[in-house]
Amino acid sequence: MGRIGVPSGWTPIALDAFCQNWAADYDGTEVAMGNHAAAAIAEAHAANHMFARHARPIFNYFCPIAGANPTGLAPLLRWLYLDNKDNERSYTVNIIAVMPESVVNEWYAQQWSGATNYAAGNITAKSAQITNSVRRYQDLVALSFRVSRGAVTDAVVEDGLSTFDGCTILAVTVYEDVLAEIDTSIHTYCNPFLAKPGKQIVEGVVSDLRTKVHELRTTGLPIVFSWAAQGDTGTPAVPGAATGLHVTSTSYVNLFDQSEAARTAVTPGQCCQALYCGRGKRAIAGNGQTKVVFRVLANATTNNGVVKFEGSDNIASNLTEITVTGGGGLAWYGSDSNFIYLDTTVAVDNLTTAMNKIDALGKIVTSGDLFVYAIRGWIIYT
Amino acid sequence: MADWTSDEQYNPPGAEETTALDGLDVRVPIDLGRALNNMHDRVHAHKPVQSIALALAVSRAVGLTAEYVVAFLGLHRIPDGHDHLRYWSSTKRIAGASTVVWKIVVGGGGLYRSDEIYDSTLIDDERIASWSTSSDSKVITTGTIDVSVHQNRWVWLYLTATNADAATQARMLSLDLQWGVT
Repeated sequence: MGRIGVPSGWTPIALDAFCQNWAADYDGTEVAMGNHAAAAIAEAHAANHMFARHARPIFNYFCPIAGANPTGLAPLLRWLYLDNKDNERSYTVNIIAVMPESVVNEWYAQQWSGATNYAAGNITAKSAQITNSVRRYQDLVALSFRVSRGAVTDAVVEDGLSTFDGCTILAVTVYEDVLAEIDTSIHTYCNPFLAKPGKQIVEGVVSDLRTKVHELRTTGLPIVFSWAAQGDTGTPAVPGAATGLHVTSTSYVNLFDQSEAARTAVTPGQCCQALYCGRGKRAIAGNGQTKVVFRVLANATTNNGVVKFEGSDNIASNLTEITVTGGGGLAWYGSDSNFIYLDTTVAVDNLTTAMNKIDALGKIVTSGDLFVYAIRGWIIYT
Repeated sequence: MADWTSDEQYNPPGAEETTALDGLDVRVPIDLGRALNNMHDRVHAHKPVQSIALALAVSRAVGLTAEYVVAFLGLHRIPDGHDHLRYWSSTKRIAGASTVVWKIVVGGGGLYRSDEIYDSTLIDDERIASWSTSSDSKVITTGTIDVSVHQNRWVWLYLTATNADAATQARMLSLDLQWGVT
């Protein structure tokens, strides 16, 4: 087992000086340089920096205090993610809550017992502290607990959060934990010591870099659409409430503003930047896009429901439809076949229909009720 | 030739280059360097930090003349190498005629916590972004916020709103935040 210190800061890589094959000698002749190893060392350190310190936000949520669940709910929140990142095998669930006005038992939050990596010890501190009247500034409490994911599964896994005895949650952010150093027996890393100063780059060093850099680039990619209701059994009236989205329309409506029937430049959706986030030369057809896949936690009570995601209209037919099986019960619906593209040529300040805004729309087929409790969308490398 | 640009997309290393490698091909480390720069600046550090949908979460109309905390956006880590935040907001004025001003605030605000995340000296200006809603129809706004705090620190983010008269009400339909977007 070895431990490799990780540079705490990032410096953009400029390798021109390192990578000159030849230099002009004093008499004008060209001589071979032998310092290529310096480039490989710099790149290995830079890659290790990203291997250790590019923690990913896994989940986020907030609720205005008036709509927060004041009693407790199990689960309060559910979310999915693709567990394909070798490093940062734990994450911390950060919670902002307000204390209740009265308690019978101590209040707390805990990892949802249905989570893939559930462990009873993943729990916040318990408290009996109360307040006379909840004031949104003064009565905030910061809580957290850590979740260990174990070995990487390369599968979609689920996690969630439950609250008990009056723990009233206003906001949640879940972040992967950064690594202070890399343990060579556990973590994926690039070995900077394979490259010997004064020696030319040898194939083994660069092959290692290529492989690991590609691994880094293709895993742990951003989650770009995240929404969750409180709980997974609510049946609020149309259009829904904090406990779920409710659709009875037989034609598409925007899930977050049912007065809208189609994606426009101003309809509510999830915005994100994707400029230069594809692969290959952008000028080549097909390279100016990157794929986002979706899952929906939903329940269609009678007939099928459909949830549609629609992205930048720079790309033709840039939509996908997920069928929620009528009578199929509460479940995560969707697969990697349900994808749209982000356009990696669109400027970040573009506010036209070409922008990378993902709208979520829903409808019910024939009649019935569609309830949506959570939506997740993440980038996959293709 | 400058080599630190991140305005090139990622080019996956090809097997044919590996087999051809003879230790003298300068393109290999240069290409790898570009790939790393792109990954850092354009892909991996650009994780959306808050996808705040949406109408149901902040459907409460703002009808106060005093500044009003609409929502806590949570506790966030500033990624290494990035000290700015881009926001996209979708808002609508639903009553009245005045303008509603929205703000995203970092840190402070009376949050009782003693460690570094509440150290107000980390933050030059607590109110780090504001924009207004003056239209009765839906409007999407985007902008960049400079956050003058140390990287890799934790910060609190929350959203406030103020309007000029109590009759004016506005609604936020969505708010998305993402670190490191240039």
